[in-house]
Amino acid sequence: MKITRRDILKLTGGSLVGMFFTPLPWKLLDDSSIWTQNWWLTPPLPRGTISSKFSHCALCPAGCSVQAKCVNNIPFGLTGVKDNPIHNGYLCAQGLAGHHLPNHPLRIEGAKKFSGKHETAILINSSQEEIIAAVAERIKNSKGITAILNQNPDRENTRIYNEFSKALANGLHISSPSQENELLSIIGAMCGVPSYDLGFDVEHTNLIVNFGTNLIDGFGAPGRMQKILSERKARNLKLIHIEPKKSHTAQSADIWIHLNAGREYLLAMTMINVMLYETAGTQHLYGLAQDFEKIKKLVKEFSPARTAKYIGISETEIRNLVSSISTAHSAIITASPDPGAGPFEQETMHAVALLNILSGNVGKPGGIVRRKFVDQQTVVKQWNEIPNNSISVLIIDPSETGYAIPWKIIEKKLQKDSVVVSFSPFLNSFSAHADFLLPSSAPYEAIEEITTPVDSAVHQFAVAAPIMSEKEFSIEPEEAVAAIASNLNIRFSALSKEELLRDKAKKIYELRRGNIFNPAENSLHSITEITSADDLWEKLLHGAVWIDEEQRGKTSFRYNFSKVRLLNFLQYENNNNVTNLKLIPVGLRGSISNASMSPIISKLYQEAELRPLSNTVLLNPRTADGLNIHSNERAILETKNGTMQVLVKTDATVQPNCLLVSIAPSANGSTKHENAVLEICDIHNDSSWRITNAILRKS
Amino acid sequence: METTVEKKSRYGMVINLDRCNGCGACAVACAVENNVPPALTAMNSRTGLTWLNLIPVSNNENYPDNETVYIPMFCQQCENDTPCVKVCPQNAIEFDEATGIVSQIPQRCLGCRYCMAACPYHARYFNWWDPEWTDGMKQQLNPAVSPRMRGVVEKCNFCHGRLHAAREKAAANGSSEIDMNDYVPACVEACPEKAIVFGDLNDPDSEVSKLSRDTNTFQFLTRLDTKPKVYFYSQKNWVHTMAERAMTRTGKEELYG
Repeated sequence: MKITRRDILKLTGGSLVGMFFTPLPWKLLDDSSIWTQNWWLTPPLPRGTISSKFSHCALCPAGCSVQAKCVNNIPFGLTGVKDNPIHNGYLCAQGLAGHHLPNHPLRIEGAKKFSGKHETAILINSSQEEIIAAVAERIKNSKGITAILNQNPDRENTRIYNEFSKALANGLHISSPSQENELLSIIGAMCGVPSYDLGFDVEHTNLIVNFGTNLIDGFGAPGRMQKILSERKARNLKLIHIEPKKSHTAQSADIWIHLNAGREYLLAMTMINVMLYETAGTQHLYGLAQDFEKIKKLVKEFSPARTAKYIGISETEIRNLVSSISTAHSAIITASPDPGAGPFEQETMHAVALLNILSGNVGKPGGIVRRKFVDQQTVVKQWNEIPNNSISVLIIDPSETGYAIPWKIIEKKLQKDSVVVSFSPFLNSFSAHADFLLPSSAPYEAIEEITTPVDSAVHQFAVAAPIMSEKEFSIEPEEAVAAIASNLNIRFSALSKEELLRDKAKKIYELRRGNIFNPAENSLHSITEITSADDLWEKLLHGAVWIDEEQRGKTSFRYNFSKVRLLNFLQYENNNNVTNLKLIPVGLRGSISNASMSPIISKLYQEAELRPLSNTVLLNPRTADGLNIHSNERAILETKNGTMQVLVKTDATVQPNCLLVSIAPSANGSTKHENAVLEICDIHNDSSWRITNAILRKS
Repeated sequence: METTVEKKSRYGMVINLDRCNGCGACAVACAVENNVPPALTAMNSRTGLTWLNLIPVSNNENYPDNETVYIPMFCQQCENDTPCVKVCPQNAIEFDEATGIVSQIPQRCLGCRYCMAACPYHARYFNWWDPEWTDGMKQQLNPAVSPRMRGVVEKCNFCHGRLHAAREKAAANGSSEIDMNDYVPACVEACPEKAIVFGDLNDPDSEVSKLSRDTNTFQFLTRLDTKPKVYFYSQKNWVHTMAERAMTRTGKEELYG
């Protein structure tokens, strides 16, 4: 048989067609996928001894107990400590990834300074000695105040800051303008008790009337609050939530009062009016309260008939609200700063404080109770007591409250040629404005004090013991202050943080009061079973927490209302000339900048639609229709202070005519625009910035 | 070759949507446990990696009657005709008869994404980029879970690493059955509201099994008859209605009740 060229072509063609019916192409596909694999680009897994350590989360004042799973003594996962009587064994989303913070991309590695004050200034490497000498020199030649800004002033290092500021001619130790315990401070000032001696007795209360606070994960210890709220029925607890937005707290409340945005003061004053003029429950204050008649007179003009239409709820609803408080066995009326919108105006906070006092819930179990005495110091001045343009050197402690503060508020108090020093280990909204950066240790690297959360009726003491090794380039704030003092030839006790905390542990041991919860043994023992102060310290270093005894029975106070700051109706209306659209910044506690949380939190913001990224405006679909703007469009947000570009998202939980603008975080790796909305908000004299008139238009 | 399975478990979950408050602890705990990398700058809700994606869903009413529930959406571990298993040309997806868990084997995956198209729950994620962690964070990866490379698909596997650890512990104690207290997925452990109940659906006395039979419990897209092992609980009618709507990976517009 003769083989022709045609036969060869047929065979070739047939083979090619037949090949598709064999495993060969699949094998080729398979192999090519194997050949193109790049597994070498995935990091090798850490190998070594697996262990477990106990500590506390110091990311916010809640100070939750944590158990860290470690490989080679490096934590790779955190969980809450089950059975902890205060924290209920749970962590919030930020806390669960808190162990990433020491390796955060925005970590400042070593002492640095900015090349100037303008926006294009760059970070230059420096040395701790050079910066400490420069700051000391500046303090020496300063003609203004040298201030230390401390956002968590209930800690022991307050002693060092107080000692340092007192040693200076113009030194001041000040607290930040947005504090979770602000309401307790105001009530404390009215009854002559420091704020750290007061606490909300949420465990025993029958009613929480809540002015806008995100109780679920933005108040006190999140695990504890969530437990209490979810056990409402069994605890005979009722939640009345007052907020314009139908937030999750609003949705889960027993009663949601959706007043018009920005009318909280009017509502609180009207409630006081009803209490004083329509019910008979405030006689206990006659003779106990100085300037009570003055308050009574001022409140008279806030009758429900006059204010209800402004508040946006009926007179009956207001009366029912007051009736709920009067008939409850015990009640707490809360108002906390919003992580984005900041604190309520001072007059609103004072009115809410009065509501607690007038309803007889201060000093009463289930209300705002006095904790048993523990020796503690507090800051010298409150932020609002500092005159504008008065600070020439500002030192910013690295602690964070989890609430945003616009830089404009800080800037207002600074002199023109002032110097700002930041001890933050991260490049955040404060340190980005500093001249000098002396980074301290990141969370879990150095010992940190855990103070009592606001929702606790008793004092507690614990330490966030280090679970990772400290970086060489960091310097503790106490050491830095001692070094500056040394440069200024100031005689200084220069105790380290550990010495201060050991000292406090010793004082607590000597009290012989309260219990120790030890997570390693999952046990709660009386402190009397502890053999020595050193023994207590050892236990604290291994995650134990001291929990004080409850103050039993009622505490009587004498009140002084002479410093109560309230506005009359006319003053209030003049201050609240709100136009059609109201801009309200929003945020979640601890999510106020990319630097304050692990990059993995992108799972909630950037990679999901659960929470909005910074510069996203949420508005009601009806408002959007009226403006002819659609969801996912870009728009221009304008106030009298400036403009910014925003991404529009419609959200039916938002009250019509409100523009809720998210402050942070930005997409990972892009922090330029976080907190930008705070720069175009109106800043009031009392350092509040809740509502600003705004315009939104298509870009 | 057939694998002989002596005792069959069907691990599953019941998620109480009336309790979930969208705090996000489950999603973060999942990412930390399973070495899911943080987002790169360009990532968004379409290209991100969220093994557990919390989707806010509305009842489509306007203010003030609007209600929202948060749906933790992840692999539903389909029991019947598992869609992803059927379409995978690489045998990179395995249905484990012993546990009912649908596992992804990234080393076999060639990145065709057929499984992503087939999954009615949009619970599978493609690695568009190489995973990136800072040098320090690489030392903090969970040693029990391998990171995945660019070009492969990944998804929830009910924290398989924890199942292995529980099995090893049981074996060390001379038992072939695990103690369910030793096998708790990260999302279940992290939920402060105790909204997620996990266990063996084959055990009629288990809490998860009892809850799965409750009249207020439902599954998503039951008309597809994939028999998911993740159940949802809600006393709200509109939530039940929503469960039969088609799901979109992003945008909640088609999930209104």
